[in-house]
Formats: sequence, structure tokens, C-alpha cells
Amino acid sequence: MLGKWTALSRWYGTLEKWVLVGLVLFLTGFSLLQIVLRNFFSMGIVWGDTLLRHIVLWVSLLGTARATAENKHIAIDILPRLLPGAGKTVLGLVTDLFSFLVSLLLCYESWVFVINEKGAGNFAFSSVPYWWLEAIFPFGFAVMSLRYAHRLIFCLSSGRNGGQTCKLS
Amino acid sequence: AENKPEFEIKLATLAPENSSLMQVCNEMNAEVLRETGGKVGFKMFAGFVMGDEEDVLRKLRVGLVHAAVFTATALTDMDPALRSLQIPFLFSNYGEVDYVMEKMEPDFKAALLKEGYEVLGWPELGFLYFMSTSPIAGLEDLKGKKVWAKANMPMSQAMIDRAGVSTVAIGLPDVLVALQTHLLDVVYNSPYYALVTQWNTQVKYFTDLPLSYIGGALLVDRKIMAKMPPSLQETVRKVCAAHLQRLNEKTRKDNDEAIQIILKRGVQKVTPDAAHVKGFNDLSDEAMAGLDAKFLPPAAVSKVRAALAEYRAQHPSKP
Amino acid sequence: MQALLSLLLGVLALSGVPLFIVIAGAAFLSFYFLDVDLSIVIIEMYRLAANPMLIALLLFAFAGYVLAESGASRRLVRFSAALLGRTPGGLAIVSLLCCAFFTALTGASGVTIVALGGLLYPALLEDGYKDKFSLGLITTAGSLGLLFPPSLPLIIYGVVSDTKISDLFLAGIAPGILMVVLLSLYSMYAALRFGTTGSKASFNFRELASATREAMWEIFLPVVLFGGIFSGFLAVSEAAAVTAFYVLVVEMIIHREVKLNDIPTVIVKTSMMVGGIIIILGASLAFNAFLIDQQVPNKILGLMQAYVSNKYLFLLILNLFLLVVGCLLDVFSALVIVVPLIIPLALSYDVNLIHLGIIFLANLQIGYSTPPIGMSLFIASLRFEKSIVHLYKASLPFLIILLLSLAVITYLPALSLLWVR
Ligand code: NA
Ligand code: NA
Repeated sequence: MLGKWTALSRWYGTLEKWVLVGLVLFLTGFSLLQIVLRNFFSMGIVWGDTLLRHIVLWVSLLGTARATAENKHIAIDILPRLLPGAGKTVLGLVTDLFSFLVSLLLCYESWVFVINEKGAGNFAFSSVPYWWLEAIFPFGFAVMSLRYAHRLIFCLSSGRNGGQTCKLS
Repeated sequence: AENKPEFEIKLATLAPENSSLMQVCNEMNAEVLRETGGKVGFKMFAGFVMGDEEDVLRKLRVGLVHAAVFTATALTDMDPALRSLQIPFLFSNYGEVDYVMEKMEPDFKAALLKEGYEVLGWPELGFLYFMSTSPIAGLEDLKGKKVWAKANMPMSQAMIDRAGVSTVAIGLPDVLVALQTHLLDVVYNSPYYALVTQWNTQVKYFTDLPLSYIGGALLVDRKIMAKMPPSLQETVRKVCAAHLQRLNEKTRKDNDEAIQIILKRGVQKVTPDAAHVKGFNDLSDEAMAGLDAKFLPPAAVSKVRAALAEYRAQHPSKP
Repeated sequence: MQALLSLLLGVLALSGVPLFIVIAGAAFLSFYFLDVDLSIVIIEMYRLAANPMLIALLLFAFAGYVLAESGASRRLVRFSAALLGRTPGGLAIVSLLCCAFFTALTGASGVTIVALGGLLYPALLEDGYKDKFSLGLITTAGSLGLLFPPSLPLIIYGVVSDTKISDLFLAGIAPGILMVVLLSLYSMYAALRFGTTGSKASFNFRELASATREAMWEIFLPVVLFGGIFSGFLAVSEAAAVTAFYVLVVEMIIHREVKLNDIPTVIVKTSMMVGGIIIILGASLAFNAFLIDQQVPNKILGLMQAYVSNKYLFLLILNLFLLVVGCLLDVFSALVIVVPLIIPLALSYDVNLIHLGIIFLANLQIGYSTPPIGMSLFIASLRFEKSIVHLYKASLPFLIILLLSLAVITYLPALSLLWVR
């Protein structure tokens, strides 16, 4: 079971990487296109800026979810430094459990948010409704929750150090 | 020493703390408190602290705020008919606006009520005007200029696009620097806000022709109104309507004074002649005709144009 | 109950729970007790998508990581050594100036550290500066230059307080220079102490010519950047795209030091770092919304008004209050919420509004690198993969110097008003 999870998470990791590459390169290219259009052809894509700002949001949420897998979030880890080995393991499990619960709540509330936005029916530009662009919230937080869950189960079952020191690839 | 009113209405506005709008809102609050014996009162959140209009609208939906002052622009997705008032170069004076608004008001109120909001008044931003670094007296003067593309001005945008003019999308706070660095040549705003944001220090010309009318509304969540006994509801409606009416008179005076100050501080006035005004009008009509019926409902447009024709027949323009 | 939960959250924060989880958790709890639909937390986070500066943040970060992959820092060190020769602290001073200039343009949104850090940090290390010194310098310099025109926060203060923006631009110059000069003096002292005296060789025109030729493309970058912005060709966010493109061309095609295969890794690194910053900003927005709803800044100021009568004491407490505000709120919220509240108070103590603006922004600037939760500290921690506690220690000496200049700025109004009127 856990083996299948690990395989799935590897597969998603590759997909995630190429989506990020695509988004960042598109962001760069589209910005350049806007400059060229304005300065040389006296044109501009008005909704371009809105699109680009949402791409940054997408990159950020996907990037944050990635940072969860690689344990690269900002954290103030003063207490674990003071604790002995066993205490560290337990504390690691507690912090991961807490992080899992909060990211699950973030995911659920994002879902509620997107459903509300869909109901409000506002458009970001032309025929693109806001909720399409905002759907990255529940998705990003769902990936994050799964990664915390994965780490918790992995660390519990492998009996290794919990939380901070138990790192998934 | 503050006693919280039994019904506290959290009211968000985008206007700065020291603006006319906030002054009137504070006076309005004082009178609401007085007239309801301290039972109903507003708690104010001024100056963007709640975010932009779309953020405030979302907060209104989840109940973090109960009331807010919006520009009509923010409400056009709820009621597309509101766009019919924003058609570029539609109105030439506030007499026309008031007459048309009177005819349209019941429709707008009904549409917004269906979304769950009651209108307590229609505080407006007023007419927008072109301000520029080179004189804009007609359509051809816009060609080759870097014209500001304000977010959420689809009607003006449609018109400027049709003129084949390049626009630059820049966020509101960056406009001042963009004028300074010549990233922008032509901007537009209400005179009062142009003065507040000090744009007048970076432009040389003011085109004396209203570009577009931007109205507004103070919406309150029907749920919080419904909690109050009917007599209190009536008091709130009556007091707010009176103050917001007064606010519009004040806004118009502020805008007129702002034009005078802008001109006094060295910005030159440009007055387009009749032929150029017609050029703008024709282009606007052409651009509006090309818009989707769902975006700009033809029924509302016809009603507005009919009312406008009525008013103009009663008030033939001075030669 | 609420106190107990807050305490628990505090303990978790110190136990290594990601900071954005802690802040989001605090926001959820607050709104739960306020009985507001919890999706408000996401509504607030979504305000991120309205911030045009974040495009620049991502693109500058991308360019910064590409530069860090290349040999640009080595070339830059060689060039500065050839140019400045034995001037102690030469490279450190150049770094301070670059950061100040860059922040003035980008408005202390964290962009400076991510854009220049990738280049300057390895360069400083290579030139013999201690790791701790280099980290502290880049971290605190990340918001240096907030007082120089055309910094956006100066403009926003002008609009909110209804003071002349051109006066503010003039008023910020001398205090800004004071900060740069004091930090430069400290850098010279540190360089002498480390024995980092740049190049030991005497000035050699040949070496300078050769070093210039080698570093030519990187030296040309600021010309492209600032020239593009001041000629009106580019907006700031566009300048970031041009920078990213330029850096890709220079390091991949001209120097051939960055390979196509490296790009996916660089992009994933960039996304993780930028995502890490932006998610903290988003969670803070949510918690800020609670503070605003409870009118917390208003309440603190009300207390101050009730108990403080002396102008100098007022200024001292104002500074302490603003340092905390600088830590808790983003610059924009701080300006629009706190400025209107402080102005009547400041006027009653007879404080000049232009001077007040400079005090205000100097505080916000320092608040960026003030422990425990200054934004620059987080950004540097993510960018250089150092623990946050390590960064607290590294920025301390620089922070002391900045506080010293804050005292001068506060109690010597003439410095701010030197060019005004
Ligand atoms: Na910056
Ligand atoms: Na901050």
C-alpha cells in the first residue's frame, strides 16, 4: 500500500516539476511579449496582467506543496534542539499531525471558497470565470495534506525519527 | 467608554479616512445612533484596509462586513444593467445623470435585492476626465500615445481598442511613477482623486469633456437589516438616504473645486470642439453596438437612451 | 479557553511547525471565535493575486537563481577587486549601494534579497567576508533604500497623509544616506578586522581591463534594468522579465555556464522559495484581517494618547510601536491603517508630517529584519537555506546600527527637513 503511494508521489513529483517549468517559462515569455507588443506594435493584452498574477499564485501554491515534500518551509525550531532523541521523535510526529490538520482545513475552506466564487459568477477576463483560476487553492492544499499524511504514515511505519528529520524525496 | 450598539453594522469603504465620503459617513453614523437611541450604529473600516472592491464583496458574502460602499463597476457582474450608465461619453452633465438615474433606480434596486443586498444610497465617484502630457482634443490625438488601461473599465477599453490606440495596464498606485517615467501619456480619473493622488503634478493637460460616469452604491446585507425591527430599518433607510444624497452634492462640489485647483496649479484646459465630441460619441456607439447582449443588456441601454432623449428634449442645450 | 489555545499555538510555533501553518491556524481560531465563515482565510489569501509586485518577485528570484548557478559572482569579485583595489570593505559597500538602489525601485517587497542575494552572497564569501557578516548584510540591506525616491511606500504615505510627495522624496535622501554611510563604515571596520582588504596587488590597468571584459555582460545588467525603467520602456514587473531573459541569454549562450538541463531544477528551487514566501504573506493577510476587524492598532494608539504627554517620550514609544507594526503588518496595510490614526496624535505633539513620514518608513524598513518575524529574515532563511535563528544572530550588529540611525532620524528633524522648503 505504502509502496503504491510512494510510486504515485514520484510520478506526481515529475508532473509537478514540468508544470512548474511550463508556468515559469510562460510567465517570462508572456511578459516579454507584452513589452514587444506595446513598444513596437502599440498594442497590449489588457487581461495579460491578471493572467500573469494568477500564474504567480499557481506557481506559489504548487511550489509550497513541493516545499512540504522537501521539508523546506520556514519554521522556528528552537524546542526540538533542546530535546533528547525520543522527545524529538514524538514532537516531530505532533508537529506533522498539526500541520496535516491545518492544511486539511485550508483545503476544505478553499473548496468552500471556490464553490462560493462559482456561485457568484464573476469573470476574471473575457469568458474565464474567477473560480477556474482560484481552483489551485484546494488542489495545492490537497497535495500538501496528502504529503503530510504520507510523511506521518511513513515515519510511523518505518519507526524512524518523526517530523523534521524524516524526509521524503 | 464606548457602548456597542445592539445592531452593529460593519461598513467598509475604499475612501481614505480624511475624505469627504468618510466625513459624511461619520455624520451619518452619528445621526443613525441618535435616531435609533443608540440601537443601530456603523463600525467603519476606511481606506482600503479591507482590500479592493472585489475583496470587500467577498467579505460581504461571508459576513465579515455587513455593508460597503462600492463603485457601480464592482457591481456590474451582479447586475450587468448597471453598465448602461457607464457608456463612454453618454452624459454631458449631472442634470442628465440625475434624470436617468431616477428612471433606472427601481430596476437596479430590485436586481441587487435579488442578490441579497439592499441599496441605502447611490454615492458616486462622478465623471472621469482625460488628463495627459500632450493635449487630447479629439480621437486622433490619442493615436501613438500610451493610454492607461484601468482594470475593470471594459466599456472604455472597448472604445479605446476600437480607436486602435495602445493601452498600458498599470495598477493604481504605480500610475504616478508611470507618468513620471513616461510609461504613460494619458490617464483618467475623477478630478478629486486626481488631486488626492497628486497626478496633477505629472500631467500638463486636462480635457474638459466627461469621459464616463462612475456611479456607486452603499449596499447592506439584507440579513442584518432583517434582524432589526421594521421601525429601526425605516429609520436607517431614511437617515442614510438623506446623508448619501448630501454626499453626492458634496462630491460634485469637491470635483468642481478640484478642477479649478488643478487648472490653477498650471495644468492647461483643452476643450474639444463639436466635431471632435461627435467623433468620440460615434466611436462609443460603434463600440457599444459590438458588445455582447449579456454583458450590456440592450433593454437597459434603450431605457437609458430614451430617458436621456426625454431630458434633452426638455432641456435643449445652450448654443 | 482562548488563552490556552494561544499558548498551545505558541509552543507549536517554537517546535518547528511551518510558520504559515501557525499563522493560518491562528487566523482560523480567531475567526472561529468571531463566528465568521472560515473561508474568509482563503478570501484573504486570495488577495495575493491582486499584488502586481509578486510577478517581479518570482521573475527576479528566477534570474537570481540562474546567476547563482553561473560564475557571475567570481567575475564580479574580480572586477570589484581590480577597480577598488585595497579599499577595505569595497565589495560590502558596493553591495549596500546596489541593494539600496534596487529597493528604492522595487519597494522592499523582498525582491532585493532574492534578486541580488544569489549574486552578492557568494561574491562576499569569495572575497573573504565571514559567512555571518555576509548573511547579516544582505538580510538587512534587503529593505535598505525604502527612503529613496521613487520608493512606492513613500508615495503611499504621501497619498494617505495628504503631504507633498516631492517633499517626501527630498526628505528621505539625507536619512537614507545616513543609514548607508553608517553601514558602510561598519563594513570597512569588519573588513579590516577579518583582514579582507580586497586585492593585495596595487592598481593594475591591465587587470582592470581584463576583469571588465570578463564581467562586461553582468555589469551591463543594471544599465539595461534602470535604463529600461527610467526611459519609460519598461514597468518594474516587466523589468524583471527582461532581467530573467537577459540573464538566461548571458549565462546559457554567452558564458555557457548554465546548461539547459539545469533549468528545471532552478525553476523548482525558485518556486519552492517564492511559494514559501508568498504563502506566509497570504497567511499573514488572513491574520491581519482579524487584527483590523478588532481594531487592534486603534486600541493601542488610544492607550498611548491617554498616558503619554511628552513629545520625546511620544516619539520613543511611537518608534517601539512602529517596529512591532513593521513586523506584524505588510508595508501597505501598515501605511493605510496606522498613518491616519497617528497623524492627529503626531500633530498634537507638534511633529512635522514630513518628518513623521520618514520616521514611519525608517521604522518599517527596520521592522523587516527585526526578530522574531521580520519578513527579510524569512526570505533570507529560505533563499540561503539557513535556520532562522542563525539569521537572527547574523543581522544583530546591522540592526543595532540601523536603530542608532533611527534615533538620529527621530531626534534630529533637521536631517529630514534639510532639503524641504
Ligand atoms: Na526590495
Ligand atoms: Na512586515
